[in-house]
Amino acid sequence: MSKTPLDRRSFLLGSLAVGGSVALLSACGTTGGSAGSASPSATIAAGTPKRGGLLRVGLGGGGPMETADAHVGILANTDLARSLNLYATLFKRDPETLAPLPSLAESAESDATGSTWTVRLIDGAEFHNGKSITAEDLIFTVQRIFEQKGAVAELMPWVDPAGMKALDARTVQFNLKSPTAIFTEPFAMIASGIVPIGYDPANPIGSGPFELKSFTPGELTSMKRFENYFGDVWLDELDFVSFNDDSSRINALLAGQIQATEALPPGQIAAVQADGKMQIIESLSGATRFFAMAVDEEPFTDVRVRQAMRLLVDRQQMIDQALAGYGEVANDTFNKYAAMYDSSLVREQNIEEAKSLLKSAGKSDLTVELATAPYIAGTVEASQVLVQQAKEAGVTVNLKKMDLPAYFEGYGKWPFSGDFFNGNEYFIQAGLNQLPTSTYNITHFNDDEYNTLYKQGVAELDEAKRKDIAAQMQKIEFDRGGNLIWTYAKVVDAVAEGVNGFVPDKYGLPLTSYDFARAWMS
Amino acid sequence: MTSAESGLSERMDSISIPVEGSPRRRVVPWWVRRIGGGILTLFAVSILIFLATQVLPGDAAKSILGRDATPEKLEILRAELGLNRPALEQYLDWSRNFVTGDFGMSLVNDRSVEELLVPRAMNTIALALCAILIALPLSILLGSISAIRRDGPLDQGISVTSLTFNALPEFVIGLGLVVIFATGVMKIFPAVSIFPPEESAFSNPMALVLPALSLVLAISPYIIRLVRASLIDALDSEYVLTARLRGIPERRILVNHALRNSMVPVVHGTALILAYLAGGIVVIEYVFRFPGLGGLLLEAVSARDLPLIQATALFLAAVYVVVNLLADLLVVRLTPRLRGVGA
Repeated sequence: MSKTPLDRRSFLLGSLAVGGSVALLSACGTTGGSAGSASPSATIAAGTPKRGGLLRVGLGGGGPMETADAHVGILANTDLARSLNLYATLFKRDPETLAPLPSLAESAESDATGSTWTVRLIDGAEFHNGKSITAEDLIFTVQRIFEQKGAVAELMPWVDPAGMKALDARTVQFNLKSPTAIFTEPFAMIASGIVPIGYDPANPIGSGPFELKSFTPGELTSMKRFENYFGDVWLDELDFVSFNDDSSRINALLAGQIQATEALPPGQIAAVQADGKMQIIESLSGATRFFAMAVDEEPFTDVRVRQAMRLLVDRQQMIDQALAGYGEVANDTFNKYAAMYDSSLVREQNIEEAKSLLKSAGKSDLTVELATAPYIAGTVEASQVLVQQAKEAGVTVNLKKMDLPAYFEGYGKWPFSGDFFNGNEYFIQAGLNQLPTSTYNITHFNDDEYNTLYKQGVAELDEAKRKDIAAQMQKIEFDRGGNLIWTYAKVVDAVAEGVNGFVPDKYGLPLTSYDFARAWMS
Repeated sequence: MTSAESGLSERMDSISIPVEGSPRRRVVPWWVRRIGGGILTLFAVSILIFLATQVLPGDAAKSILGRDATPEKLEILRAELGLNRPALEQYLDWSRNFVTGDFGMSLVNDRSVEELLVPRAMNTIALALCAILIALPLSILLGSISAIRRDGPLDQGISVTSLTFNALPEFVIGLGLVVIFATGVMKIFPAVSIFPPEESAFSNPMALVLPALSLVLAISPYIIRLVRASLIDALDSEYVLTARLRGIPERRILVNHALRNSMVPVVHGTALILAYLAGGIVVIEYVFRFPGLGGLLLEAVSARDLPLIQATALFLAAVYVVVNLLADLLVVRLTPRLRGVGA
């Protein structure tokens, strides 16, 4: 089988999403949300969607650096949300299974070896300026991603920007540099939006469900429904309001000035629930929060020290204290909800073993410095918990607390720091931060065996064999990697009464990965 | 001499009005020299800010790229933004443009500093004006009542209330008002300001209500206490006693003599408050998501956006200089003894 690996159910979902049957789509959304989730709030998508309304969404962490570019500089949550609604991508992740489902692509098929992939665009799709989306636009988009060194370029090293050929008006053949089985994955990611030939980020034209009316970085983004979108869109208008302060974001929700907001800080969830008129959407997710030890920096060059640090952590306590319990225990491996996740790898706190490892490494009274900043909610608190927990094993952790620019000034250079990721597919995640070429490889992990397995794995079309390779790679990370992955975050969003359509999302991005095409107001 | 007057004379000493100066020095009026001094101050401030931003870890290129800052991308962006030039050259370039009225472009987005600064400054002015126009008459009234009814129940009530608000941090006052008037008890006023960036706060009066009220509650106690103290001083003074002995009606004594003289410290207090309102209301801006100058400066610092930091900080410093100068001019008007001195 060389077609995009999809199981029957998600394939059905995908074709419906493309086909655009109104009632069926919403029914599927409901099923998708409540089927696998333990959360009682998952029934929020019930009812028959209808058109109309302005939805104002409060988003955190924006600022003057916000961008409307489709491919570069997408960092703040407001950037992600804007990108995902202005620009359609070839594939779109199923919120439950995380599988990439066809969106602007009708299909993607590979040859027997995975070295040539053929992407067929859906018929009749248009850009916001009324121009049809053609094979040439897709080629232009991919070339722009590589020219601008966009974030996803690194995740598709097999794509040859000069190796694309338009077979007809809506078919592109990708002749790859090296074979791959996960060709579709990067095309389901943010910052892979399809843009027209001659795209100018100052005039951000895409083919997403909403088109831009106005955009002021750090303040307000106003959008309206794109009437010729290839799928369903219910809202007339969509506004993103940037907030610096979490409390004022929650107050705006409670006062009715915004009707939806993302990622409630753990301490504010009770206040929103107490209001009685708010719906809470809880998503278990594969999004990780972790500490990172640079394997080529003292004292972490010794694997015994790294393992000792991993063993001295009481992960549940860290989640309880730093995230008010909103998280699931992680075991130094990425995305629990990934298809290739190996659940047999479990690590529990073991102070005695940590101490004995440190002793054998000659580091019984170890002192390390942990660089931290509020790069995502709960990180500074978790760092403080680590300081306490490390004491039990005789390890002194000194905190170096900074603001974000100072932290990013040394990002990738701190011997001991931290980071976070969404619930990515396993090989995508490996490409993001476990390979010598990865931008986010802040542990400087460079393991020959691991690198070889990665090359085999991405090219392995047989899913069972690929999963076996992924398991071997996870074992290597578990045994000698530099990441201390302590939690899979639980994302808690809130919407006002009468706002519908959102379902829990395992990817870890709030508000069903900012999929506002599914939102409707009653 | 009353304490209000002694405070005044100290003030006058500090601004060095040359009462006994040589005739030649008197050619240049003191306020002209004050303006010159102000400009020198701003120049010094600009150097200090520049040095401070050089010391801060990280630069605009780093904050734009965040964790995507590979050395390769950093180099390209730094070259583009001109951040790889020597520090002195950057400063000289900036100051040359600044004096010709070109405030430059923001480093982190494609907008001019002017375009970013002016609307925010207008919003801050709107908020500060609302607050001061309510707080000032209210405080003079309450302060006068306190002074006239010294130690009576009314005075005590006003004192206790104003001390209470004085003790509360601004964000507590702000959040309290939000709970009462926006999210909890009554939902009358907006909890945060959300209006299109091209509109100013003047055209969105509802958004001003709670932030302005918070500021009124935060600054009034200070003015009330100033008015009370200096009015009590005035009422105890010999000239008031003389006026009473001459049988001038109490109301006339109060309005024409005592209150007028007790305004001098209030004018200076108000000047300080105005300077504080121009830049120090960051907390209130945060709580209410109010698009003002304090927030702009914070954003600029955290983005290491040098031209924007410079322009905003200089604007705030200029407000400080100008407001203090105006206060001194007003004091000279209010104090016949000083009229014509050095001018």
